[in-house]
Parts: sequence; C-alpha cells; structure tokens
Amino acid sequence: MFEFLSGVLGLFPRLPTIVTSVLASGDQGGSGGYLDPRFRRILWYLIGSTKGGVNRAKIIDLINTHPANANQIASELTLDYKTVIHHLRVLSENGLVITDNKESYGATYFLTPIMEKNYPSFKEIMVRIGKK
Amino acid sequence: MDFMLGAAAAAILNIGLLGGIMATYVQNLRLIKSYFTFGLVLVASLFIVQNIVIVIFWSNLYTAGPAIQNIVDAAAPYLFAINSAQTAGLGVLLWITRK
Repeated sequence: MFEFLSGVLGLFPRLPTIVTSVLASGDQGGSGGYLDPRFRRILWYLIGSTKGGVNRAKIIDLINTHPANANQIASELTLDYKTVIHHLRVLSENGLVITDNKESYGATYFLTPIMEKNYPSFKEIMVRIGKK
Repeated sequence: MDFMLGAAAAAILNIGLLGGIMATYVQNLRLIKSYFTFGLVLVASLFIVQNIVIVIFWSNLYTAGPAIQNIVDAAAPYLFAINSAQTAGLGVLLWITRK
C-alpha cells in the first residue's frame, strides 16, 4: 500500500513532462500542423454522442466548402430551418463555427480557426459517416 | 426503510435515464461505426446492468427478514446517496446528449 502511494505521489513532479509528451504524441495534420487530441475528443463527443450529431457534421462539412447562412444550409442539406439554427447555435457555443453577425437573419457562418486547424480530425469522423 | 425505497426508486429512475441515453447512442452507432460510438453503447449497457443488479440486490435484502435489518438500515442512506448522485449525473448526461 505504502509503495503504491509513494509511486503515485512520485508522478506529481513529472506531471508537466507527462502532459507535454501526451499532447505531443497527437497525429500530425495533412498540412503538417499539430492536431490537438483534446479537440478531437470534443468533436467525437459533439458528433458521435449527441442527438443530431450527424447533421451537425454535415453542416460543418458544408461550411468548410463555402461559408453559408442558415437558410442556404437548410436548403442545401434539405433540413428544417429551425433545426439548422439550433445546430448552428450548439456548434457556435462549442467554438466550432463563428458568424459575422449573430443577430442578422442572413448571417454567414464560418469555421473557427481552431476548427480549420484541426479539420483532419473532423475528416476522420466524416469518413466513418460516409454518404449517410 | 424510507432510504431503502428511495435508493431502489433512484436505481429504477437511472435505468430509465440510461434507456434515453442509450437510444441516442444506438442511433449514432448505426450511422457512425467507430470505437467511440461502440464504446458509448457498451458503457451505457454496463451502467444499466449495474442498476438492475442494485434493484435485485435491494429486493433480496428487503425480503431477507429481521436478521439483517440493522445492517440494511445502516447501509441504506449511503446507497441512497450513491444512487441519487448517479441520477443527477445521468440527468445532466441525458440533457447534454439530447441538446
């Protein structure tokens, strides 16, 4: 018991090194950039563990090809306008998309810089979704 | 006695909450087949098993008779606290999942 406790306590001085090595062990992006494994986990949670996650993924995919407003997204993905507004709010609250003017009816949505930087992590999920 | 019934009620409520969570997880697993979605279904299934076992365990203790009544009464508040905390946690998880 004592040996176990002293072993666990012995990890604390090395904690910054352990965290750094864990973060540095993430995959490298297609553009050579660093992919944050924490962001990858958030993406998996938002898409893989929530109701409507697949539609959120399709919205991100569409916004990546060209920034669009809620109405354009609704018509291109054949989704209900209110559903799209709800998904955009959730994506916005979680820092995946951003808009130039939230109050405006025709506000255009873009991917946030962190989402663009970690886009290869998103593509990994999209491959799993396929054409469904 | 009240704590005992409360703990059992919380466990049954947990099974209901987990059913709601599981429905979303299974829907997502059908669309996205990955270790992540499969893992979520597995975790939710194991939590359901845990709560079913708790309900069976308490029904057995409830019918065990006066021989162990003191032990049951002493343990009941703790199990009630454990199950209630799990109910609160699962309630938040269901809310996030359905949001």
